[in-house]
Amino acid sequence: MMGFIRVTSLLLFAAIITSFLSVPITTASYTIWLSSIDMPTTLNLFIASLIHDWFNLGITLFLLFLLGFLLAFLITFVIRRYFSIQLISEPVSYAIAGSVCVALILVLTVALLFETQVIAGNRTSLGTILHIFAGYIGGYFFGYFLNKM
Amino acid sequence: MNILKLSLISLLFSFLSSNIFGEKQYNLEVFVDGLDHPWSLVELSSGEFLLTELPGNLKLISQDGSSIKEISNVPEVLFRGQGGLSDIVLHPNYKDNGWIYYSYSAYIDDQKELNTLFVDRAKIEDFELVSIENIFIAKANRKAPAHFGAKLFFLEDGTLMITSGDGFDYRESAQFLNNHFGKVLRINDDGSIPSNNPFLNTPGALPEIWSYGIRNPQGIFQDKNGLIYENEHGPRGGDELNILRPGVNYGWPAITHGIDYSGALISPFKEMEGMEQPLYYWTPSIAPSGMTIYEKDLFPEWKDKIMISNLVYKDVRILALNEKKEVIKEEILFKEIGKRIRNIITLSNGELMLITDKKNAQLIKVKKI
Repeated sequence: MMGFIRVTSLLLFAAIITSFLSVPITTASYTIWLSSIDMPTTLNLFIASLIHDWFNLGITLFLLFLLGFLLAFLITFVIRRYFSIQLISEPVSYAIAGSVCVALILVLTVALLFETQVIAGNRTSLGTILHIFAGYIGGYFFGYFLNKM
Repeated sequence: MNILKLSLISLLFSFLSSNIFGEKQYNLEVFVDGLDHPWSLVELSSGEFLLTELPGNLKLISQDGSSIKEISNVPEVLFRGQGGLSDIVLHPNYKDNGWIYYSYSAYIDDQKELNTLFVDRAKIEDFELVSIENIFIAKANRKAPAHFGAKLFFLEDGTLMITSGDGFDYRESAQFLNNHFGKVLRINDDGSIPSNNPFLNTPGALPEIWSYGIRNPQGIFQDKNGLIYENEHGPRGGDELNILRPGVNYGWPAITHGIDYSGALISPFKEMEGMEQPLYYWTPSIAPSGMTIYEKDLFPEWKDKIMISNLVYKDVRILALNEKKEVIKEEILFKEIGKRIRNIITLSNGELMLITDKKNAQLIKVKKI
């Protein structure tokens, strides 16, 4: 029972960390653009926008990542357990699973929604890379602490 | 017997309430049924109708709706996402020259990677489009088939207004004049540029641009005083009604009353000097579609009011403006239809035609009781 609670908690934290890191990509993307057309953006305004986005976009992303990570980490667990793949460490395997999962979510949100990019921070290559990196961090966190249990 | 009495009383009550209290002076009649993604309709002087359907169908409908004939030779359109054969209008001198104008989305390359908005004009002979001339291709190439705008309207001076949406993924382009994303455009009937367009002398600006900073305009209409009204889809919230003036920046996406579908802000700014505020806006969104200003006498209670059909709440909004052009009243009509309403058109006899959306759609006539 304790193990289940711990794994669930790790999964929740992995999704929270990834969404926490992903949201600023969108906030920064529109803030930088607004600044480039001479709109009066300030640090305070950026922070206020970021807080808004964490509590709005962040919740959407958290739910998506939670569902995605559940599948991705389960698959990773099965592969490691039953195929005895020891080439890469446990944290790195889950980190790769996390980043692949985020990449798939980014692709699917476009494919399912009029082929449009609803996550504004993902409209540039840099944005995509940063989202995938956020997934890597979330996955690494999960794998690292799973190993400590 | 009691049931009969009760029915008679309720009938009498509904008759009295609808007439004494000024409710429901109209009757809704399904004029045509079973349409496939209809988008726009125009009434011909013969009393017949030309109807566009997004998949690329152009249909000639008889005066009483009993017969529908396909018009052939329609250009290949991109029917995907929000794209397809869209608006249709008649030349102001249609009786003499027979020109019809229509907008559509289509690929611009053989690889079928990029698409944009096109406007053609053509004539109809023996149920076939002939003398087809492309008069406009939007410099708004996109991968996703979304946010085309695609509305057409002939102004009193004989020039043609075209609305061009922001392409969704290209919203920032609406603030720059070197492209057609998020713009309202004005051209002559042959596609040439009017000599008094506002940005003709602006370096780098495309000459067709009339106004900019617009998202996805779905309705445009000029009233009898010459004012041009436009409605547009906002994101989550912030659907707008604007009065269009030449050279004006309507702010999208630097200022907006809505937020992104994802929940993120699009901009923390709702107003800014040099950017026009909407005449009226809706939060939450209603997804405004067609628009007409009722200038006939058949329904005096709607005279000179703006009528906007919508997709989310499946009704028509009737807006009354005061002399300062402020919206002082918003009424809701035709809720009983219960379907997404794609367009609303005033007919020559003062009746209205509503177009419902998607598959198995209908044309619904609003008649006087």
